[in-house]
Amino acid sequence: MNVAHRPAELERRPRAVAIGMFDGVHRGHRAVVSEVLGRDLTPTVVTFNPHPREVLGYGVALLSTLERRLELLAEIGVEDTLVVAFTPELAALTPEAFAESNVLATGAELVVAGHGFRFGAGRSGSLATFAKLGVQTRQVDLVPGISSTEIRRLIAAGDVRSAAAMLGRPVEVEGVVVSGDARGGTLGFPTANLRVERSLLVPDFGIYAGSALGHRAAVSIGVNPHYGGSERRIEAFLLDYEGNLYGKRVVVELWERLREEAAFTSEAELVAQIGRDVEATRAATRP
Amino acid sequence: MVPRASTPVGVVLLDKPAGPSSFALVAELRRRTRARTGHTGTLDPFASGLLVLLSGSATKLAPCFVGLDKRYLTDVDLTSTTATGDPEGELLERHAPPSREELEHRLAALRGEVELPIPAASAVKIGGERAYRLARQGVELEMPLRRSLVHALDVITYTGDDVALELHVSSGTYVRSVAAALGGHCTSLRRTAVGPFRVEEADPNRLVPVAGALERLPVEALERVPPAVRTSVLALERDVAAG
Repeated sequence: MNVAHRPAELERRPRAVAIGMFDGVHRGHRAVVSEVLGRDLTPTVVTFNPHPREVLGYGVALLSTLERRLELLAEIGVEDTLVVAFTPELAALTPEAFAESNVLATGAELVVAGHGFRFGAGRSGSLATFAKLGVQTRQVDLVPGISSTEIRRLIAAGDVRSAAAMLGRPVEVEGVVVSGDARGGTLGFPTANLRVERSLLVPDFGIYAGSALGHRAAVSIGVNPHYGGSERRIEAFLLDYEGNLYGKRVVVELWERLREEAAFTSEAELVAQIGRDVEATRAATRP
Repeated sequence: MVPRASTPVGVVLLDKPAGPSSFALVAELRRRTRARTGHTGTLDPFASGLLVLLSGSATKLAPCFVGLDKRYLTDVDLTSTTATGDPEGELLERHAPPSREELEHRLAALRGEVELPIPAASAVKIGGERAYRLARQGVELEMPLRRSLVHALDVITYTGDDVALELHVSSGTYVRSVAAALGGHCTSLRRTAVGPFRVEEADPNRLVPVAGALERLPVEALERVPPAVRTSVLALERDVAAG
């Protein structure tokens, strides 16, 4: 998939364009994007970064990084994606100016968006703006029961099974492996310590079964009791893996929440519990 | 004044036990983090439940978090009133509890937009002095009325002498005043939610990212703080996480 950051980087040609944030690329988003596939038009997505809520100071807990969002869109079959830099200036554009410069300029002949999509100054632009400019439009209804808000709620509560059903894929956490306390190694379970973007939603603290880099993984999400600099720790023990992951970007799938975090009276007890977590991870099934 | 750190940045949701003051929990968190720490609305010592605390530069966002609707569970003793509306105040009057029918009648009158007297034992200032201080000095007070919106007021259990209630009310509503209006006093009070935050989420070891917390607030609440302040706190949070 080609990724452009300015409209001029995309060759002008007949396109079917799906427009939206598509954070997490959940089943509702897939329903929108799949409308641009399988036509005689180049399947294209126009999306935004950073998230408008972030730029406008409203805050957002993201389901995926931009990089992951683009990977997921590519997996669906999107050929070109334009990532529009979202700035207060962009938000202030008239809907017509935005539509012309960022969508029609790429050659869009069909524009598709989800129910309730708005853009431009005062959120006054909608698919009707494109229709007025002479482009074919299609609005995709919400998929019943699927919403980003509900997915966020489920993930925050640690219910990764139910969230996966709405996402149409397992819940993931993505980060870069950084050096940790090296405590796991001395216990016999070396872990990859993930540094995760702060704006990314991370599931409830606890121990999860999942996978990373094609290996099953037992994952601990938790905290240093005394906050300190990096108050939250996300550590993955990859089963049957040997190698150095420092500095690598890793996407960890979380399939199932095994248990709460717990303090143990002895190290032997902790090691025994991790052993049981590893067995449970071997037995876990991917949602 | 000891300078307080602007980090760690975040929101801490606590489940306060009955007993300690809200401020004791703020102080405890501050000792652990050494950050500037603030609350977004206290609970009386006898009450338990959700306290929303802000850490580090997130304290600048306090206006976004105050003024949110609250949810409570309370047990009301319908056979007596106290000076404070809670078990700590002096007994004012003993009486037979209302009939179920009369109770329902009183509850119905308390739903929707209502005006209730502020409890005498509260922190509001009257003539520049805290009401509870005046009350303690034995000053007879004509307490001012406060307008509240009672979204929901439901009976959970009812024994005749006692009723357990679930309330969903606008910010600033005194549950003790609701109990007094029913002819009783609160024997227990538990806050189960502040705006979108639920007591089940409380975890003293978890620093909730500001970005995710703000997302859950209504836009009107967010706009009580200028956008530049919000974006600067969000940017600091990102930088700390990356550094």
